[in-house]
Amino acid sequence: VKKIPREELGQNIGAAVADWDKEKLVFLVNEGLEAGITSMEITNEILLPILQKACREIDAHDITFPELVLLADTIKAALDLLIPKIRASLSEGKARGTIVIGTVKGDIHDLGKNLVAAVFESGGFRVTDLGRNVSVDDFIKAAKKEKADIIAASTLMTPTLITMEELMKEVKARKLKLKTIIGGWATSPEFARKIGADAWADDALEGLFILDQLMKELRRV
Amino acid sequence: MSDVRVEKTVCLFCPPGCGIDVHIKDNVPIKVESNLDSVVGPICIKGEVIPEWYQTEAKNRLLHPLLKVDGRWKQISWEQALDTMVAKFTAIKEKYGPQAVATYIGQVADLHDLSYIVRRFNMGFGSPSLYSVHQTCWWGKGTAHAMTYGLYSSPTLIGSKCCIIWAANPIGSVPFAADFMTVSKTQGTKWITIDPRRTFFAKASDIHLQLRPGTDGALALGMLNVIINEKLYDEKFVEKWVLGFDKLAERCEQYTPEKVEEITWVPADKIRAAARLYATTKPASIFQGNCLDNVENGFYASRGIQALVALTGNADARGGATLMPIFTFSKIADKLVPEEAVLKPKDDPWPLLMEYSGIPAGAAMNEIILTEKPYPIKALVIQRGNPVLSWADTNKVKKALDKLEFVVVMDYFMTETAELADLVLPATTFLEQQMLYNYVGRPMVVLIKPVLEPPGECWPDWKLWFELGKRLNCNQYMPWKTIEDCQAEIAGMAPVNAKLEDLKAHPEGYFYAKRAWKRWETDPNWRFNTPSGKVELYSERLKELGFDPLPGFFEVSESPVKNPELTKKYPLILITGLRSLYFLHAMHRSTPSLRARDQEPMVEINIETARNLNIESGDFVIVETPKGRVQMKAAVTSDIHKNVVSVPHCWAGMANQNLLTNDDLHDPLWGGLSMRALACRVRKAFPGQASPFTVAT
Repeated sequence: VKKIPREELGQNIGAAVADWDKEKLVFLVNEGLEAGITSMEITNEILLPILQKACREIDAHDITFPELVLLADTIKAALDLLIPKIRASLSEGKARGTIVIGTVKGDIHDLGKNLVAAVFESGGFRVTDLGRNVSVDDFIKAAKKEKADIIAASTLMTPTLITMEELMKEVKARKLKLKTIIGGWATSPEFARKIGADAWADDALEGLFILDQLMKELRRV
Repeated sequence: MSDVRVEKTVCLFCPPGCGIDVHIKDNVPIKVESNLDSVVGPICIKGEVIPEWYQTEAKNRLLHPLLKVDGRWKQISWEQALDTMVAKFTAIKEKYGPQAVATYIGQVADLHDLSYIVRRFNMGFGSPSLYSVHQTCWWGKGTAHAMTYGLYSSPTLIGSKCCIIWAANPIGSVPFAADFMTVSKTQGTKWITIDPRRTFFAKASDIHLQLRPGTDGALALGMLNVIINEKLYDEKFVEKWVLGFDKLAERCEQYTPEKVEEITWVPADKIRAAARLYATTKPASIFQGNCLDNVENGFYASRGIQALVALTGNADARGGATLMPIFTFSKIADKLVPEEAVLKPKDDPWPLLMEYSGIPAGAAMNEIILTEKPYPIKALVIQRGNPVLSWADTNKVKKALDKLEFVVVMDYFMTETAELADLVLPATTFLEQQMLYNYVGRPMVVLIKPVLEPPGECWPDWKLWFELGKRLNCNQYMPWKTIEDCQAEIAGMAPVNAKLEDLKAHPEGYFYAKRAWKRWETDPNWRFNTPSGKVELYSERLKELGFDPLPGFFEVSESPVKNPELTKKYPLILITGLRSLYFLHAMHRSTPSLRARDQEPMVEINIETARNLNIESGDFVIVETPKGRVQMKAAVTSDIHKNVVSVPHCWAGMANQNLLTNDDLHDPLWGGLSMRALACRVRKAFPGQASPFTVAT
């Protein structure tokens, strides 16, 4: 097995992400895995920090939204490879919680949601991804079936905010014992409060942090 | 102290006009967010910093009318300012005739109701001399689309599987479109970028065609050659709806990819690959920027681009191009008045621009002022414009302004143009006045309401004309008591056909028509808005006017092919007008958050070229054309073609791009200015020439 210093791998991965070079990125990730670096390490110590930096930069307007989108899409290619491995390494019992996630009905975008799902999985949660254009009914059904602790709903498009509001109403009306978190370009903390979601997150990593809090709250109940 | 109120309006810090919620406390905007009801947005950083703009840059606003007396500014009242104008305009009218009093409206005159009001004022006054910025952008596309479809062909990005980003950098010019396009890219939309610079889009594209500036028309013909020869076009559509296919095919024969490689510097294989990708991926759109509007042969390039759209069946297709009427406020001002009131300037060299936009070419105004032919222009009112920075050939603009007897500028600031005026008037912003605003690319208008009290004695632009109309006794075509009366009149006409109440109920924008696609398939009475009812790749009208009836290509005046002698002296090719996300034209330079992200003007030079010229990044360099020179720092990069130099847009002082550009070479058809594809040379500034005081502020 060829030894690659982790620092060098980190730098090379950083350069591949900066070039939006998915092929090279996947090659490097495989190289790292072969060298004995675990998928959890590559995700949490190399890829997520790159994403975190980019999220900080977009908040400060140091990069543009299109740049963030391509960067995230590139990282997603590596996560697609790594997440199944992380999933396999976590036994069911050990999962920190169960989440159903989807982009609400009317919205066909799922880049951000895919990334969030991947990050949540990499953080040790069991995630059921319902995909995009998900109806309120499907969210509720899946949450029951998976015995979900948390429903995570996202949208990029403003006309679909109404679906999100309906989802929250339905969760309340059915008195489901779970927490809700929302996010996505069209949402805001004010909106989350208004529709009665339990939490709102600006990005995937903030979301992961909030999940722990939500889980604690759930246990307390 | 008062509570915070939230007002829904539109951000006009750039023309796309995103919907915004403005949070206001004590008549001060404290926060701006996207209006979630609006289809235009989300906002970019410019919208977010509106509060900061008010707290910083706007502190230098003009608050009172100022009259220049013996070279010094003297504060006067509006009453005195109006009296001065009335006296001057009356005297000039008596001596030289009414056409000697002219108006120039900057910032997208066809998009706001001001051009309607001024045109009506002018009808009463008897002057045809209303000019605007049309020759600097959009109308090359506009006239080309009009000649091809009788309609405007707007790219429809939703659902597009392939997008050509042609001479455009929407990150700087239409940020939310760039956002949307990039999200689509991650879902598999293919990108082809056509640009001499390696932009964000070029880097992320499946194919980048790095062409020689000014050869877009040839590139389009080369791509058409491939599409026609390989039968990649939509035969059914072409047979039924396209006029002149055979003639175009014949024209394209000579434009083989190899021949086009010679002209454009783009490798023949890449031309083939791009043509195949575009023609075989459906639906496909072409996002064409405004660059070709500033190239002498831009009209024909735009015609070629539309031939690509039409032949591939993407005209009036969702994910391709949406066709919609070309509608401007200045043009509909000619309705509801007797025919004899409608005036046109004499000997207009580019009547087509007037025909489609309702406003004649501004370059003709400069020419008339300087030559006094066919009549003198002696007074000029400039509103919302800063032509000293934004119009081609600054020295010519200054010469023209200098020749006038009386210049009035109405603006927020003492701009470079205002400094040269005799009378300066303080204007309100888009948050402080009621305005009817028209959108490009969507059948939507919005009635912008005033959400802030204006400071000092700032007046809305329209009020000047209402007052002048009364005082000069020439308001017979302005039968309105209030601005709302006027706006109700406009809204009541086609194509909007709405009541003002309808508009008021939609601060996020009012759609006056439904968007529809492939009407040629569904509507049995469908015809394109051309004389033949078809897509006119061959135009009889153009032929009658003495122009090439087909999409075509000719070398621009200063190209290395057309003028090799000039190229010996000026070996590089200049492009100007690069848009920045952080500024709109000459605006926003004194807002700290924006300036911090784009601190100073820098000329982009290829790394190899810079090496040969002994130039490093950060060195002061001089860029020269036959028209003049600018001085700024060099940004050495591999992201630009080695024979091309890019000077940024609308900086002031010694960095003013328009010291280099040309108002003598025009697109023969509609008069577009030459601000790109010009011959230039670059050298390192000698020590002592590069003083920090020469950098724009």
